[in-house]
Amino acid sequence: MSGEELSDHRLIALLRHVETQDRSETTDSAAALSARVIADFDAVSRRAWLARSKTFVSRLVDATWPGAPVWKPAAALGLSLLIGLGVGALLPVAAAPDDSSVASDASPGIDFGGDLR
Amino acid sequence: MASDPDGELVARVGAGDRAAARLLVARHLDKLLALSRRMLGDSAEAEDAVQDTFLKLWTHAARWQPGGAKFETRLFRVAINACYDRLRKRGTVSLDEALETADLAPGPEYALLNSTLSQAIQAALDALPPRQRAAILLCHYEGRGNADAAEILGISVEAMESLLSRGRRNLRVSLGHLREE
Repeated sequence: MSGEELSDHRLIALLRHVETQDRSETTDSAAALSARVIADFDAVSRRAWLARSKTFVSRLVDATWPGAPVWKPAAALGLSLLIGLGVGALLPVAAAPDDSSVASDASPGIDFGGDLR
Repeated sequence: MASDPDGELVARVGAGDRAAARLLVARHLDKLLALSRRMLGDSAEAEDAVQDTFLKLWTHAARWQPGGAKFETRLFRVAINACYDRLRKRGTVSLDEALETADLAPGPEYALLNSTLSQAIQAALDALPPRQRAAILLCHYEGRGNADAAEILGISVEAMESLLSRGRRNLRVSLGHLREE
């Protein structure tokens, strides 16, 4: 080793010293970076949730109307809803059934034990 | 094989657990940031490299498979690769250029670079080829074993020892003025 070089021991000691200095420095930038990193996590989670929802919807569509684009089952559902609502609104309400003619499971409200007392 | 202390947390992150993500960040961010700063010699670029590293983790956590290398080893590998990418874009730096840059870039938020010793070491590190720099930082700065560092760099232990030896030789010459009197 040349006289102008430092020893391995000294070199390693210097690097460890610098590392200790670096680590003891609790910088504001680390806290800000931490916030940025967690914001990235939130963004990735949101994207993953959206992707899962899209997959769920397309699977549902595929199960109900295989091979159709999403708008077809959506349109069919919307149309059937409209028809249902229209029929419900326009048809006259049927007369309420006479309760007296319907057999009831409810207790008649008679105290059968009364005679025994 | 010893169980991976981060394995369960990574699985939870993959399932979208924010608390687990915060724990992983608290556990590893400081070490990754210190290493990236020394790799790149630039605070802002180091932060970007660390952010990219965690972004990759968030994106791939759901596909995480336990077994093989420890999670921390893989995380450091991603961080070192992010630093390599940035160094590649920047091109090579001579010692003179590195010293100039170190003098010109004190950065108020990173007062450490103002110290002569730290500056000299950073300049000498900047002048090393990236792989030698990574080897030196992992073993002598981070204090990792050769086998662990070799796994992070994806090379054999023999190749790691060779990188270390060449890196130390270069540093010994460039930091000759810091030898003991």
